[in-house]
Amino acid sequence: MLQVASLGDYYADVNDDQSTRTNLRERLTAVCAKRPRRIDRFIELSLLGSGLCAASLPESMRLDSQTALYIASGLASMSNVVKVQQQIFVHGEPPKPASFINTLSNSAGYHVARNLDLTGKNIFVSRQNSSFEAILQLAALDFATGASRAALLGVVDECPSPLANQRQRMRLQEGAPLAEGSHWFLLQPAASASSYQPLASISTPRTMQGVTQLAHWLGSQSLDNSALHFIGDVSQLTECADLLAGLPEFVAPLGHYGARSAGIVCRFISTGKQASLLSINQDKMGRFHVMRVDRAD
Amino acid sequence: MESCPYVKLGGVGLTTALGSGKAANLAGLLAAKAQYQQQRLAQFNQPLHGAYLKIQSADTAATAEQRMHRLLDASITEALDNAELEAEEVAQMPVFIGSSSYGIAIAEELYQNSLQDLPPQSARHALPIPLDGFTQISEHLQRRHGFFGADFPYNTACTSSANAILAAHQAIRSGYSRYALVVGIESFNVTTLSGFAGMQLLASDVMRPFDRRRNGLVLGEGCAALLLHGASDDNGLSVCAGATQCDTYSISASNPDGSSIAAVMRAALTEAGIGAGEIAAIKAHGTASPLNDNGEAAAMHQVFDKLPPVVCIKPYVGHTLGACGAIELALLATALEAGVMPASAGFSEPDPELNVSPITTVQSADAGFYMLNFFGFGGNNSSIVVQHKPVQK
Repeated sequence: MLQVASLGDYYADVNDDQSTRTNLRERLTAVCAKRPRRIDRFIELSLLGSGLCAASLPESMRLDSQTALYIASGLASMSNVVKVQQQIFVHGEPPKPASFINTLSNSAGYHVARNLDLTGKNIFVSRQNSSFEAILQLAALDFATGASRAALLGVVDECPSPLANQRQRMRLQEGAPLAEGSHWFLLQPAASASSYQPLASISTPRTMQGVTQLAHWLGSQSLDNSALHFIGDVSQLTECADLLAGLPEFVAPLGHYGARSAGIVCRFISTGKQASLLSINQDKMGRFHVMRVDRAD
Repeated sequence: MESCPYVKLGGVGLTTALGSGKAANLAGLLAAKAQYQQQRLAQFNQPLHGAYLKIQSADTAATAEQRMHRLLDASITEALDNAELEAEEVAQMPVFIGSSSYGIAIAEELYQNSLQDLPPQSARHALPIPLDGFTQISEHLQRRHGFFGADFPYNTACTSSANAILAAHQAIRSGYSRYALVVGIESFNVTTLSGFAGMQLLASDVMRPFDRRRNGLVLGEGCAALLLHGASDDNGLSVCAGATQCDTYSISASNPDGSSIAAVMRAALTEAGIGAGEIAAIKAHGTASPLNDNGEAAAMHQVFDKLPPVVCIKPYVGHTLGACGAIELALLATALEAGVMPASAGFSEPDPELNVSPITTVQSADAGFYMLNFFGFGGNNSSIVVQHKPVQK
C-alpha cells in the first residue's frame, strides 16, 4: 500500500476564451521561491500543483532532497508542442531553443526539482488516461526495492485552444467539456507512516487485459462502505454486473483531460463519503487499470 | 511471485545505422566505420543541413508509422527469437519504453499532409499533433506482438530508455514479474533535428567524443529491444544495479565541474555493491559536445583513481537520444558476448584538459563489471552497472 501524506490539487474547466483562464503566474509567486523563467503552461501547472503539495506537508514531515519525483501526463506540454509544429511547418522557422527544450516533457520535472531542491530520481511517464496509475506502479516498485523512501507524484494535463482541436486529439465528441489540472501526491510506503496521520492509502494499481481478470479482482475486494469510479465503456462491464450491483458511483463533475483519474482520487480523498473507492480506468485498447483508495478517516 | 537474485539479458534485438540485427551491428562495430550522411531539411526558409546516421533499410517504408513499426518489429522479433515464451507470458509481461520523440514523426507527417491539402490562407485549419504520440509504440506492441501487460513509456530525454532498463530491473528484482521487455526507439523527425540545430549542438561532419577537435554531436535513429529475466545464476550479461538522479544546475547541461555526474556514478556503484576499482570499462555517454564531455571527464576522474578503459559508441550509431540507453547496452552486450570491446571511432587527438582517451582499437573483454553512463536534458543523469561473465561453450 502507498500512504498519501499530502495532496496538492489544481483543477479548472476551460473554454476557448483565453481571458477566462486562470493566471497561473500570479499563483506561482506563492509557491515558488525563485521566479522561473522560460516556462510554458504545462510547467506552470506542474510548479503550482507540486508547490501546493509541498506546502501541505504534515508539520512532522519535510521534503527530503532524495524524494523521488514522478510526473505523468496524457498529452504533456501540448500548447508548446503545437506552437513549435506551426513554427516549423507553417512558418518555416526552426524552433527556438527554449521552446524546443520545453517540448521535452521532463523539462517540467527539472523546474519542479529546482523549486523544491530535489536531487533524486526525476521521471516523466505518459500512458494516456492511465498515466496516474503508471507512476503509482513505478513508485510502488521503488518502495518494494527500497530505492526510495518517499515519492512526489504529479499528474498534469493542460488544454490548449482551440478546444475543437484538443477534442479531436482526445477522440471526444463535439462539445465535450474539457479541463486542465495538476494533481499531486506525496507518498510513502505503508511502514513509514508512523509520525503523521496519512490522508489515505492507495493499493498498487494493476493492469488487466480483460473483463474476466477485472471480475476476479473485484471479487477479491471488500465492497463494504465503498464507491466506484469507472472511466471507459460501461457496456463492457456486464460480466461484472453482479459484483457491482448496489455499489454507489463516486461522482465528481470533472471535464475531460488526461489527469482525470488523479483528479477523481484527489476529490475522493478530500470529499468522499464512503471509506473506499474502487477506481477502474479503461484505456482505449480495452485494458483495465484498477486500484483501491482507502480514506484514513 | 518470488524475486530473483539476478536480472539477466536474455535476448537482444537491434536495428541501427550499422545495420539490422545483432550480427550486422557487431560487424559494423568491429569494422569501426560509421555511415554518416548529410541530411537536408528543405522545409525551412533557410534550409538546414547536418550530418545524420540513418537506417537505410527503413527508408522504403511508405509512411512514418510504417517506418516506426518496422524498426519495432525487427528488434522485438530478434529479441524474443530464442526465448521460447508462452503467449500468456508475453501477454502479462511489463513493457518499459524509452524514447525522446515517440510518435512525433507520425504527427509531423499527418500535419504536413493536411497542410499540403489546404490553400496557404487556410493553414489554421490543419491540425498540429493530430494524435497521442506517446501511445503509438505500446499500442503497436499490443496489437502486433501481444504485450498486454502494464506499459511504462518513459520520456526523460536522453536517459529515457536507461531509466526504463533500471525500472525493468526493479520489476524483476522485486518479484513483480519474471520477465520484462525494454524498448528504446528513436526515428528520424524534423522537430528533433531542427531543435538540436537551433541549439547549435550538432557537429558539422563526424562525432569525436573526448577529442580535442570535438565540435558537437550527430543524431541517429535506431531501435533496441531487450528481454530481461530473473535468474538464479549470473552467467552471461546481467544488469546489476544503477542510479538515476536530477541535477538542477542547468536544464540543458549537467554541472561541468562533474560533481553531479560523479554522484550518480558513485550511487550506481553503491547500489551494485562494488568499488570503483572493480569496473572493467566505462561506456561513456560521450556526446562530443563541449559541456557534456567536460563534465563527464571531470566526473570520471573524481570517481576513479585510475581510469578504466573508456568506450564511446555514439560515433557509430549517432546520438539516439531517448533510445541510447537500450541501444548502447545492446551494442555493448553484443560486443562483450563476442569477447571484445569496440574501438571508439572519431577519437585520435587527446584533449589535455579532459585527460580521457577512449580506446581506439578493438580489445578483448574481460569478465567483470561494466559501467554505462547516460545524461540528458532536464538534468537527468543515469548510470548503470552490468556484469559480464562469459558463458563456457
